[in-house]
Amino acid sequence: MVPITHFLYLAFALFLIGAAGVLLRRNVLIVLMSVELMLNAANIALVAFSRQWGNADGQVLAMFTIAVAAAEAAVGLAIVVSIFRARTGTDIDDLSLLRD
Amino acid sequence: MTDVLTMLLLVPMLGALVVATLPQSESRLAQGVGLAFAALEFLISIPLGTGFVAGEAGMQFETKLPWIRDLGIYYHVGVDGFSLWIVLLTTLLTPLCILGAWKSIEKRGGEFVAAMLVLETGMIGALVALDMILFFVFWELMLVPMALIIGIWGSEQRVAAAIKFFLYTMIGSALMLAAIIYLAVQHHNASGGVWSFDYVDLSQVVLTPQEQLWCFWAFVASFAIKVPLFPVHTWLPDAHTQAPTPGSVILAGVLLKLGTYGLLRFAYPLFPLAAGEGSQLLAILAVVGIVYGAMVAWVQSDAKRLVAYSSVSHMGFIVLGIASFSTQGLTGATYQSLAHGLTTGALFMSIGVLYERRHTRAMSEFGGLAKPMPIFAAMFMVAMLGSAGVPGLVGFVGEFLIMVGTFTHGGLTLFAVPILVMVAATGVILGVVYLLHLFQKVMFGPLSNPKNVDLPDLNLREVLVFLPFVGLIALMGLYPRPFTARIDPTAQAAVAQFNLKRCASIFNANGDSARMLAELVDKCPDPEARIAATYGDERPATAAKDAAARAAKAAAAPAPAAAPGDAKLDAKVDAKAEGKGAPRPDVKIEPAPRPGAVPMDPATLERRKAEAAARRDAAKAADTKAADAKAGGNP
Amino acid sequence: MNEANLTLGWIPLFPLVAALVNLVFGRWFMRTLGDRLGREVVHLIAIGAVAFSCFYTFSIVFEAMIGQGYERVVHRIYPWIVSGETMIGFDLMIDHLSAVMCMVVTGVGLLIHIFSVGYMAKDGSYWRYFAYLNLFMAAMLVLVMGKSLVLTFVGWEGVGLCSYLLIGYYYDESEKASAGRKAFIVNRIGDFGVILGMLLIYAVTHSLDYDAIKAACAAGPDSALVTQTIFGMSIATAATMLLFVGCTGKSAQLPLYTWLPDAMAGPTPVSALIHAATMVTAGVYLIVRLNPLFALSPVTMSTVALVGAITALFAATIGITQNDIKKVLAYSTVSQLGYMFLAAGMGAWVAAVFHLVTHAFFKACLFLGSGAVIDACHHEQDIRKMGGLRKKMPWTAGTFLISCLAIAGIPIFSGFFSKDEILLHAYTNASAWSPGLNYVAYGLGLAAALCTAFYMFRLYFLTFEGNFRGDHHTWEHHVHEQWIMSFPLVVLAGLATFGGFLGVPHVLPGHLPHVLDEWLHPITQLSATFSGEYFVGVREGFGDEHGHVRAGVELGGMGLSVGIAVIGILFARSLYARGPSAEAASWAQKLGGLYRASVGKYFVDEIYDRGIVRPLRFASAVTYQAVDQGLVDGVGVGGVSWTVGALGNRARIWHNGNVRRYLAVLLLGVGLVLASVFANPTVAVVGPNPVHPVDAGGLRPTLGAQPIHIEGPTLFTDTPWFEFDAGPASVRRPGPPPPPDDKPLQPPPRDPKPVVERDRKGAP
Repeated sequence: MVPITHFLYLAFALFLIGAAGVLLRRNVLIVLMSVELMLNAANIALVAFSRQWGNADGQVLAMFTIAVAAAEAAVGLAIVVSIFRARTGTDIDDLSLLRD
Repeated sequence: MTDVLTMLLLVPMLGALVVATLPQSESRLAQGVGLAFAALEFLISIPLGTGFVAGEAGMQFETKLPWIRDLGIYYHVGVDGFSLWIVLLTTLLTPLCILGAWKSIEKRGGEFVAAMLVLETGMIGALVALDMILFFVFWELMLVPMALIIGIWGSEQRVAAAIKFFLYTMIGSALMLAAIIYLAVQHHNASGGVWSFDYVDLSQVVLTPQEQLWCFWAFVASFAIKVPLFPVHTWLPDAHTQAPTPGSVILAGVLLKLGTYGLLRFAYPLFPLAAGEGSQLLAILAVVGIVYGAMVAWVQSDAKRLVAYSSVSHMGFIVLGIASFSTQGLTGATYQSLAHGLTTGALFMSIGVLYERRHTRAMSEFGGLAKPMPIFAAMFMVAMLGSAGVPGLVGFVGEFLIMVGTFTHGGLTLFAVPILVMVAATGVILGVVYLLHLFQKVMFGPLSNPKNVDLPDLNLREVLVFLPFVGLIALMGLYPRPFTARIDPTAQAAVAQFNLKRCASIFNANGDSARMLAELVDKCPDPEARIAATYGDERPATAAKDAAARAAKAAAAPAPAAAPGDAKLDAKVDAKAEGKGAPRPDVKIEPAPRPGAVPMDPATLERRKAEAAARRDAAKAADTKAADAKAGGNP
Repeated sequence: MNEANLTLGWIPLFPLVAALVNLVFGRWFMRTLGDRLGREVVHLIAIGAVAFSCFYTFSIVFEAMIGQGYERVVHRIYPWIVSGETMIGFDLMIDHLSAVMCMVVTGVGLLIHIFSVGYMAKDGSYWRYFAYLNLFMAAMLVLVMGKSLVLTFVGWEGVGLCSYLLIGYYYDESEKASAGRKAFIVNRIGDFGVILGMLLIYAVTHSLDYDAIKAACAAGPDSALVTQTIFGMSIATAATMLLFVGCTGKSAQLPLYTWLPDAMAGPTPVSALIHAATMVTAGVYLIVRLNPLFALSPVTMSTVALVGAITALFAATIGITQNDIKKVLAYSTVSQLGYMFLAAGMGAWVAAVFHLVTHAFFKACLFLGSGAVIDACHHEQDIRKMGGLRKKMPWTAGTFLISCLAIAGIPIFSGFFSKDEILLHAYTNASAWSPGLNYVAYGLGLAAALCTAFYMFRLYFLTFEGNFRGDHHTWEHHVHEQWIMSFPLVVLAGLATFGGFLGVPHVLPGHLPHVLDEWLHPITQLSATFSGEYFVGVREGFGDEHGHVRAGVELGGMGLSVGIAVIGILFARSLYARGPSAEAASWAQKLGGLYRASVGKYFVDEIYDRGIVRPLRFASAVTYQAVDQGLVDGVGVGGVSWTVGALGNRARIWHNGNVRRYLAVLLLGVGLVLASVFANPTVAVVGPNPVHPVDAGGLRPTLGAQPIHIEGPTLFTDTPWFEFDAGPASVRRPGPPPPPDDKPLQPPPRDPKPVVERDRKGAP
């Protein structure tokens, strides 16, 4: 029997990798993939807890997350494409329109 | 179809949707449809007035449907004497405003009407909501269309005025929301785990003094800004001056009333101990506002600004009545709310008429208008006299009752009453000073400005708008009985409940947590005496003696026969008819029975607690059973 | 008390309805029916309504009260203001006092309505004039018939309003409109006193019905009104003082009289009706109506008497030097009202009412006479440009002379009886509280009587005798009399002549009864029973065993006052019999400063303007600029918005648009939160049964004494947000039983005790 802590360590590691990717990489596509990684880290934790308590709620939530992640990826990519068209580049540091 | 209140909430919303879908170019059509919906709304509201049972204190036309059941949030609406007439005033004013603005709204007429209808829903909703969350939703809903009306259809400085209005009122609401949630949490704790945001339930919670203090002032912050009370009034002149005429009318007629309504519906009954102690400050601010508003009104050169400051003065009277928290004070305050809505509404309408013709509000531009516009002069004069509180017109009844209530019965909540009343009464003088100033500048004197010579008098549409105002101003001044008969029982019950809960709060003063009223009510056989013993009694000597006598009587005979109100009146009249047997100071008028002063009776409370406990037990049992099952399934 | 119930409501209702009809349809009448017929309709409606009221009043008084012996007639119409124990009925009443007032109001009112038909014949908005006049009648009738103080107040304000409308009747002249406004505002200052007085009385009696107030006074010095105090005064003193402030406003006494002379801006019949005969006497009516209450306050009584006496002399001295015919009459009215207050203050209630009645007759006659003169002289009001009018206007001159004789107090004429009674009681009555007051009051009264005789005859001689001093054209073409205007004059002159026989003094031969004294006995009997310092009536040493004044004192006083009146008349004749003489000018020269002060009306208006009105307006402007614009909007609102703006400007450097930096900060925040949770696990315990933070040694709550437990549906409760049917429990894959060494994620221990039942300490 694998204790729950192992799942959590895995999830934590995945999350950290994702976060580092989001923070450190400049390419929008990579950033998006890193976000996916973080979501999946959360999924692993949810499923692990679900198994721990014998309650299916966590697994249901994981399903939701996967669905939402798919939608998010689609929207995100669409935005990236339109940005690429407008700016001919996907460097995240060039995009600072949120200011003001 | 029987649910009048829900219909009242839905019809304007529906109207707004319909109007919003009409093409923008069809401005007149949109206005017509909007007017039809507003008129329909008024027709629907008529059964409210005719069906309301006079002499009953409690809520009528109640509807309660679950909304968010787990948190005890309900769609709970109902009207009583405090809200009934203001709801009717709202449904009356809205069509009149739309009709009055027929010509003056030149752009985006459809959207304007839609905003008016949404505003109507918001106002009626805030007035009839009996669930605190529902109330809050409607309370905030009112803000948006009003800010839009000022900001889009206003005069030169409209955007600044709209922002000022919006920010001022938002600050207050945030605090109020926090207090609402805190109160609900305390209700949950005190009642043994029942979640409820229902006003009726929450009013059963007796908070500790410190909690009351915070919550009371959080509520007052929201309501005082809306009223507006003296130091936080400066948004009002700007908003009024910049708003288009119908916006000003609704603002003065209904929106401000919601501030005073909130005070007497929520802030005072929910936190009576803090309210009793805070009344003095409120009353002083109110009285300062009366004098201050009048003085400042006098030196305005802008007619609309003058009327706006007169609102500050008049609203001060209403707050004074509420601060006294006496039957007369509350009845007077509610009545004065109607009076102010009608008179100030009519005054704004009058200035709107002038603005529509001349596109200026400066009093110096006018003069001698009584000659070319005699009908208008007559309407304007009735509005002005009503506003000045001339007896026989609507303004006097409320002011008189407020002063009687404050002076004679306000001593349990207020100190130094004679001085307060005396200063307030100077408002009577000053009110005439600025109103006659306005009237004379506009209406009298030679027709010196050539632009005014050919001003057309009111046309039929405008006369139709003015007639209800003028008629009601006169009728309600001469025959207020149908109105007060429906307000008064509610006021009596509110005062009794307030005193009872205030007394209970005194007994909970050393407690460390909120408790339910029912647990403390046994200690308060004569709340007034207990309050007087704690805080002193500033009522004029005889009134105080009455209370003492009543306490003695209550001790001797525990259950005084509750004579129905009207029979009591008749008895009094008969007593007077006998001349010599006229009421002498030693003949005490029976204390008003306490209709509606019913704390949740212990049985109900116990039942509720038991229900909650049962729910927990059931849940726990289910839990254990699941665990057992699990254990059993995995031998 | 035997009282009849009759529908008295008709009496004020008829003029009210007539007023509304003329207001709404008057213009239409005049337009559609043509000028001549339109006017006929308008004034027939108006006069008909008043005539009905007059007839109804007289029939009630003579049929029900005198004929059938009812003490009063009452009509309870409906409960007006009802709230809690407050119950103000819209109840009307005619008792002995109201009867006198009603008859005077409707009678004189009717005559003045008739006169107006002639006087206003050329006015453009004829309908408006009659509507206002009818409205005034309705309000005045409510005032005198009201059964409670509040209803009297309704009429009180109503007449004030009509007075405002009628003074400012020619509103397109700024000065006249301002005069109306001034009248209203000054009256409102008085009303402020009335309102507070009402409240004080209400606080004690819990009713404002006159019966209740009278009943409250019945105990005399022992009544609660006297024993209870406010600010160191008895309630009776405070209330009556405040009510008296109202009386000084309405009845134009010092210091609030200034509006009355300005009120002459209105049409002259209005001055006759409102500002001489009826409205201005409301203050006197109020005091007499509340005579037991006033009698219970010697302080107020003395104040009333003194104010009345001073006003009588003060206004009379101004009247001597005025040249506007109406201004002279206005100051004369102020002065005569002073006499009435002098009487009321001395406890001579009957004398006050008596003078009120006779004054209504002769002053209405004088005003209407002046109206006829003004009309004849082409709206010239300056008596220096008149003279000799008697030749062309014999009826007017004759009635005017009769009225002058009456007001001067020449025997036979009505003023002699009433004024003499006042002066007599000023001398013989005085409360023990103010022993020397009677001599002062009597002296002032006599001096005022001298002035009265002088200025009234100066007015008469300058107007009607000598030669006409105006332009020739006016004399030839305008000066004439109209029948419709002379008729009311004759009737009023008749009343002014014989009205005095209502109250013939006891001492005169023939021993006629003092009708008015007997009639008003039910009104005044209660206050007559008070003793000690509350005693009102003839003092010891002046009266005989019946309570009447001793014959010697009475006859002596009579002789003195008649002598003084004759001196005044003769002096006026010597100076003005042939128009303004050189001798008169030399007298003016001799008096110097005094004369100029009198001509300038003692500059009271200027003093009020500079001392009160302008400073108040200045203060208002300063308040607006400093407090509203400066403090609240500037420092308060502006300060807040400036602070927020400044902080925002500082904070905006963080928001440089770099998303990654935002994210980094976000993660940092999450990390901090997690760290704090691990450092102190009791801070955020979420779940149905939290550990008490205090027990766990965690943070203490700051608000209230009890911690806030956030409790409710969460992800982990036993009642899930949504049901998830996982099939029968046996099918479910069972979770592994937690290993014994793996405990840190156990849910917190459950505490079955409900929160509410926790022990409370300190509950009483």
